[in-house]
Amino acid sequence: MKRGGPLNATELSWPSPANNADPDAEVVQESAESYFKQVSARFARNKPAVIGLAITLFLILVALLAPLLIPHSPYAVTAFFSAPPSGEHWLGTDQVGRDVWSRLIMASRVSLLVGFSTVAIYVSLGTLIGLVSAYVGGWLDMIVMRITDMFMAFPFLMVILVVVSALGASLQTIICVLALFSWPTVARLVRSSVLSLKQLDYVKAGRALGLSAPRIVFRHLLPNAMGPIIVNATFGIANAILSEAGLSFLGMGVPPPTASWGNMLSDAQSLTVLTDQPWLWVPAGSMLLITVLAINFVGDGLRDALDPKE
Amino acid sequence: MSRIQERTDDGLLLEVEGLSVSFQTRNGEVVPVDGISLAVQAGETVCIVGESGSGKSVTSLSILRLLGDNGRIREGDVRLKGENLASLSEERLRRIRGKEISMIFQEPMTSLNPVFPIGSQLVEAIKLHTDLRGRAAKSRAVEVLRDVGIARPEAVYNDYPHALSGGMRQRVVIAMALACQPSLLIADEPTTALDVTIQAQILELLKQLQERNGMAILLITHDLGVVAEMADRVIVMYAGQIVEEADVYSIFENPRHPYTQGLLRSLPSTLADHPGRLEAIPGSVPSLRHLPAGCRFHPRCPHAEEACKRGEPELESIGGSHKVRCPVAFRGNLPLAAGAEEAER
Repeated sequence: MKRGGPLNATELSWPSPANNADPDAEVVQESAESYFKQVSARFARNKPAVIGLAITLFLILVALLAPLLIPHSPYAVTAFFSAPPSGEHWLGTDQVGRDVWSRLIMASRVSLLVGFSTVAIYVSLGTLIGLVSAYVGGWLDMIVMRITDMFMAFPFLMVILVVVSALGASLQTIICVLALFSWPTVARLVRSSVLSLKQLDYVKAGRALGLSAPRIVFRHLLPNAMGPIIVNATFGIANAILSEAGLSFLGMGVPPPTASWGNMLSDAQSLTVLTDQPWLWVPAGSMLLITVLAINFVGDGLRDALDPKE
Repeated sequence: MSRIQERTDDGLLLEVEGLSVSFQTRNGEVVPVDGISLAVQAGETVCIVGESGSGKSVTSLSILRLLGDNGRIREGDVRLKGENLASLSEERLRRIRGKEISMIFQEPMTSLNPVFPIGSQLVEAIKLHTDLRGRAAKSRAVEVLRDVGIARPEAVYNDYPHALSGGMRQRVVIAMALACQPSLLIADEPTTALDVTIQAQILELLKQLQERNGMAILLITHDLGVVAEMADRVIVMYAGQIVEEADVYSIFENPRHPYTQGLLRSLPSTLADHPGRLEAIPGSVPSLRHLPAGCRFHPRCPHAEEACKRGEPELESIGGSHKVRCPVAFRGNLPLAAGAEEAER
């Protein structure tokens, strides 16, 4: 930009290399957009991912505004048991006479809470462990990796059974147990990307500049390993929601009377409900399906958008 | 001869003495650097030359103790202004890295972190070793970018590394290394990955910056053209040892070690007395696990005698600062290389 105008003193004092570098500088401006912008542009081109994101955001909004969207208390028992949908009860009532619509909406809070908090806990834990393990290496790495092996080999349904019967079923227990058994995957993922990243010259260059080990690990390695972590976390949310639903369905998850899509589905264990009273299980099942599908589409979209080969 | 003489009375900056480095590998320990001694005066340029595997990069990395998990300094001292870096705590050493001694690497494409803009990486280096913060740090960063010949430093400041060409990136890498005005710059093949035209620019830039800041440069290269361009003094390494050390004129005009002579003869020349095919040194650098007995170069040496196969030769002075690790050359029995007559005139 300054090229056309008069040169100032500093530029004049610079000999040939400065001027020769100019053609390079010309190229720069065109492609100088941030990594974030590139990724979001690639993401925006992926239709299912954008729709998935829209649905996910909508669900979050519903969960946040849930108390305003329900006509009845989700716990209030009415006189009608297993009543079909009507003007009063949009999706009918369940076997103890509670409004299905209200329970469905309130249950979105449980699912999303489980999904997001489980992931928040285990992704931070796994990332930290993976980073340190890979950067320090040696015997520490060996021990940490054997521990992850152990966790991954554990039959986690059994453990949940034991934990739930010991501590009693609750939302917190579910979240903690799910997180406890999910961090090893993230730790391994982070470890493997850091192992390859730390061979790169900028890590060597950073050390040669005098950067401390924590600074290299958290400021320089972590952002570069972020792509796979984000993708894994997204799929992790969907998985945690499914796991919670599964556990609740089996009666080991969120305890009644709190509504969760999983324990609403458990009504369908009876054949009459399954065949004759679809309003008791179709809505919860559909919500689960839509939520998980939407989040997985977002995950797919992120994975493709973060893939530099695209 | 001016570039040698003007610097001889400056102070001693870096002194490496009897440095041996070993690496733990799956098949046991190897010693890629074996008893190196060298000195760098303030403001001078010393080149370390040698083939791949001669230990020149390992030497440079061991000065700042950047050898990695399985490498260690087995013996020897590395003294910077009298302070022994080989025995310094990691914490103290970090304050020397980037501040007193900076290092730049061969590959400009991977020497910058791809997820941060150039400016933030520069500012990080500046904040680390100076008291500059915020705006002052930023303007210092822009100033350094301008110093390395980047035409629009304010614009480049916000660019990501991928947006820059190789030559530009190497300039940024140099800017980062020089941001805190170190007294020694170690450059490990700084131009190898660049186009020839860009190479010349970068070397020119290094020279100018050296003149301005008065820093010393320890340049690692296998390119004798770069040596001729840059060096005040030259150290020739072979299989982990120094085989010849002299000022740049002596190396090119009066090389004494058969290996140095071989290196020079393997350069293309435009001189009329160099007709025909280019000569090559037969064979290759020996594996560190199977070093030949006696002189390490003797299996490839055209002048090898029986005695060379026994007893390792010492690095000996053949007058002034010119040292050679070859008894045959030392006795003067070696036919001098082409160009030597010229020097004798």
